[in-house]
Amino acid sequence: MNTPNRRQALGAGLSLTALAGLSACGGGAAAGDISAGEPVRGGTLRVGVTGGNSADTVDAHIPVNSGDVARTVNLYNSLLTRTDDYKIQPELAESFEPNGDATVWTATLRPGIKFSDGRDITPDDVVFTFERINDPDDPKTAAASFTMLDEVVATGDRTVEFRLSEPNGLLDDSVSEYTTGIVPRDYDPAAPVGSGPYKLGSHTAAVSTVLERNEYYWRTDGNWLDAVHLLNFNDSDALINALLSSQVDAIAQIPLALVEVIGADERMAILNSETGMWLPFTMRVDRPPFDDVRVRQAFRLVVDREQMIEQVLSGYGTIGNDMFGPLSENYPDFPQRTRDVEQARQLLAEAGHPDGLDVELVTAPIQSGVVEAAQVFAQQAADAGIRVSIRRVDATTFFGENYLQWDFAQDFWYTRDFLPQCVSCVMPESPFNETHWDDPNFTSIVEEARSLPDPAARRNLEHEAQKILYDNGGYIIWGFANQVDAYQKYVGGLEPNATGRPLGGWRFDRVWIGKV
Amino acid sequence: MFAKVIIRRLIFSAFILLAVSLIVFGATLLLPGDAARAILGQQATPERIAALNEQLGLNLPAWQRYLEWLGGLFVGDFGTSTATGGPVSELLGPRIGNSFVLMALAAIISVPLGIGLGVYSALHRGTRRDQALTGISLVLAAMPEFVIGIALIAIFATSVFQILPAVTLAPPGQPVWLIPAQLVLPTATLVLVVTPLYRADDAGDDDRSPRLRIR
Repeated sequence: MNTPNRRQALGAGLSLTALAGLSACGGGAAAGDISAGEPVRGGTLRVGVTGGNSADTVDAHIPVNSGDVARTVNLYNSLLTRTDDYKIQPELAESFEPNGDATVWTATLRPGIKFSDGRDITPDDVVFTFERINDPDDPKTAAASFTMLDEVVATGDRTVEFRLSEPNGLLDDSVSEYTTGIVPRDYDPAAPVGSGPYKLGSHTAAVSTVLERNEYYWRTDGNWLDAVHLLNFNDSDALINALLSSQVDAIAQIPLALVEVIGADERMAILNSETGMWLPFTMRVDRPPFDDVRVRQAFRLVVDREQMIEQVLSGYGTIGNDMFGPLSENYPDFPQRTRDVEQARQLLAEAGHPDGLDVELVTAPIQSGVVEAAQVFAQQAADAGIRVSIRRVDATTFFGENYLQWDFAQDFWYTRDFLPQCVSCVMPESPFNETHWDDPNFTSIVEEARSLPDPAARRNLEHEAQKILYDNGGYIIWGFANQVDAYQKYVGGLEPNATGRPLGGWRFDRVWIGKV
Repeated sequence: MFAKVIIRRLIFSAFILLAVSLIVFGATLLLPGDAARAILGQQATPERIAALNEQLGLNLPAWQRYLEWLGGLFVGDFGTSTATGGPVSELLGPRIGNSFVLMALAAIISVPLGIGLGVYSALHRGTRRDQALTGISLVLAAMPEFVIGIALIAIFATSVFQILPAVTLAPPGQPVWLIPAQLVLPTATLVLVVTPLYRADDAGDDDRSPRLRIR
């Protein structure tokens, strides 16, 4: 018999290619008219997230992955919270005031607020919440911010005092974290009762969570949705496909390289938020060659920051100036550092490396963009004679026993204000001091600043501290990544949010599904 | 005689599975890092690691752990997952069930379809239709399954039409056939992959006897 000849096989191949080409034509729906319109009460929002696994939790105080945080933010409220532009604002507490020397902070709860089972939220519950967080046998995530907390005492029918062993001007920041959600005294994570806009309908780890409207939620505006379904996907391809085939209404955190493609679909809208999320390079200042400040300065000068943002973040980012806390009220306006290969070479020569030097950079896919940034840096550094050999490990190894010990590596942080971030990474007691920074002068400046609750009063101190890091620090902070999500145009109420948490900071209490 | 072939194939498969299990077990031993530290993550103190090792039985010699696991297989005990802490059978069960459903559906469609097309090809050997069919068959058989799958998703779910779901989102605990629409594309993919093979076999495409070549 005749096997198909070449002409026929070619014909078949061409028709298949044509079919593939068709698919690039995109959807034909008249989607230009779709918009969310005015808020509409009712409906179920289906949200796609990645990163879920068997360790998924609904516990208020130990969220780990993205889905956990989404659950925490919607099931629980804290005393304070952060606005879309990262300012502190009251949430369950209508005020949170320090005394004269910031050794006692007093929270005043809003009147008439209730848990999702209808019971009143009382100072007693606040006391229990912080006892649970700081339980010495089982400390929760936020415990690291409350080491100076002596006791929490209910002092009235709506007031609670936080008594500290030393002055702390940053307690309002600590209490605005989503890891400090207020829970009732008889809280049981297996059947959680919370203070947030939603209550738990059902939860299956690594698969889905159903959140239902909390009828007792204290906010009177918003709360449009009847329910939110959080659906977990194992990879971002399935996540994006689910959005494009309308199986979900919104997806969190799309790969930056695919923003154009997804946005080109007429039915879809892109939520692009500038944040303070940073993915630094970390140089250990106590190890050669980085123990010489001139080497650190040279490494910072060799970076082409615009190119980093273009290549690593596809342009979805803002330039960094080797300082963290960009959204802090007191973020200084120092001259923007730019690439200067000549100066870098000179500094290296002065430091005893006239022919450049060889370093190993440890990288891992701990966050999207990290490995790409390492590769771009290696290319840029070569121009100054810095020969970077990249050692790529998997995330588990990276966070294993050598985490915080690598000589030259990377890390990633969400948006924080300057002083709280200092406490996390550049103070002697910091749990995550990648650069092993330990400068007594710097430490005393920060300790003085953090005892002052008024940002205006500590402005000069913050600037002093930032200057030290700007001149001599061990971080190369080249930029701040945007948080980009995608959603169907009929979803309303999603606002750009600077915290780095996707989909408007996970604020589903503001979201509605418009009538199409 | 049929039974002999099947039994031989089964025994062979069993040997392959055994070899694979040995290789995977050996490979995991060689991987850097250790299970206890990975599980404990941030809370890994030496005492906690030692306690967890004890609890998970990771202190026993490798060959003993392997043989205990193997023995468990024969009584239907697939062990406990270190990741979830629950029985492995609970993790595998529903998923294997879903896979069987897919397999059965694809087989029900593709076997008769393939045989039918094959008979048609054999009866109409050499006609244009047969040649076209053979050509299409060839292309489909040569393409990897995931390419066919992606093409179907692009055409019917995301980019050209949006009439079928792209992802299977079966609510946990529910059998996957309760939402039949989500079975269409996976089944179609398997059918497109497998039917050409049945058809070619039946049409005798591999029959190279000279007398059939002369036209």
